[in-house]
Amino acid sequence: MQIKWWKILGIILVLYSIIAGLLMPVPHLNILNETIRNLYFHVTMWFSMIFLMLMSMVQSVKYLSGFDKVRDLKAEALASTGMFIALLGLTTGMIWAQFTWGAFWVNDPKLNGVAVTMLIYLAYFILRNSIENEDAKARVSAIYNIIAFVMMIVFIGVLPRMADSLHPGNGGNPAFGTYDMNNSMRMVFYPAVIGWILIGSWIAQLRFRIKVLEINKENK
Amino acid sequence: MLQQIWHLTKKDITLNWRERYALYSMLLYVLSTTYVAFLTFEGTINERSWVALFWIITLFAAINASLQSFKRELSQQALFYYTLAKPRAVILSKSLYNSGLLVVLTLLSYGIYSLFLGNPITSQVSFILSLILGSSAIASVLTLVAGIASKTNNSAGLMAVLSIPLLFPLLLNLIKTSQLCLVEAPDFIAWNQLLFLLLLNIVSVLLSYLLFPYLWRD
Repeated sequence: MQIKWWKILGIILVLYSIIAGLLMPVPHLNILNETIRNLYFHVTMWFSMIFLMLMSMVQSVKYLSGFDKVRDLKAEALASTGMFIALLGLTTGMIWAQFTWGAFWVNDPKLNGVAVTMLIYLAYFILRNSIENEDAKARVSAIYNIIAFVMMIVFIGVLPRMADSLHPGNGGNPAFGTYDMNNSMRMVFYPAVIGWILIGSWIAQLRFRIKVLEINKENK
Repeated sequence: MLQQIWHLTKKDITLNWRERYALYSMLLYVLSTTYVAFLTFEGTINERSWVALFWIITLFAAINASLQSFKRELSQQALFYYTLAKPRAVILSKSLYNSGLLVVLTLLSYGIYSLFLGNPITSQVSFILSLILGSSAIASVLTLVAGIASKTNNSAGLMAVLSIPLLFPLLLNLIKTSQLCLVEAPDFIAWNQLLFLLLLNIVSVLLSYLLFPYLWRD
């Protein structure tokens, strides 16, 4: 069995981000204090999730242009891995919120965006399971997946810019450029982002392969 | 193409006008929910609840209204339409018809609602503009989702599950606009919010236009 280079890179980057993230010096900011280290584990999840959802949508578009069953399975594997990563991001975020804002859940545009994104993707899985005909299932869920991605971008890309948020860098740019990050934090943050994207893709690939094996077993 | 859209829209209007019970049932729905709200609040409703309740009633009226939209197309007649019209003309005409229907319905329910629960809105122009843009955006999202849901076994149940999360940004924006309209001056126009609603209209129509042909074929 050959291991592709990007998987090794993913392992190295994530291990590096865990070790360096917990040990390297960080700026001391009010309220945040040492919890700022959670940045490496919370924000990276969203980058990874958006990447996986984007890939899932790309697979859905490819499915609609060629009706290749494999594309549909890939789209599902990527979306479900994205959901899992989102769940991790939500958990790390809730713990962080408890220590800095004083509550696990607050009324914030980004939290609303995430909650709704997760509802949309849960609806995607429900939709998949409620259609019996295999071809119709693949086609209809691919269509919904594309709509879901576009709407997700509206939630997390457009709406937060129109409102104030408790998150840093608001109400304006929801991206990471305005975080109070110094250079030593960037040295950990960017590799962590790439690492989690790679690990997420790896998990999705494994899920896809398991699904293929299951289908082959059923067909025997 | 344009001619097809026009004819299909006209067909929808004529057919639905012939069976007016669906239209009346929607009006009755708005009327009865508003009356329940009136009884519950006993005339003393605060402004936030006024806005929230109004949009909840409108949303569910819209979902009910668009559930009907693919009722005819999925019987044997679907095959007949398939030979006659382009799928893109079908979805655009449906969106157009539903938008028109929903705009009328929303304006009517705004009237009914104001009658029973009072009208705290100060900048009417903005509010009515947001009603029109908002309900046509809701209608075009719902039309596409109704098309998707109609392919499943449990379309009525799935309709709400699929559409409410998708309508969330729209609804959030509408509620925000309405709250602005509660406090701003009469000649105030909420440009940002209205622009966003227009954008969502365009996005949802574009998505319908691009994706419906794949949904249509069987």
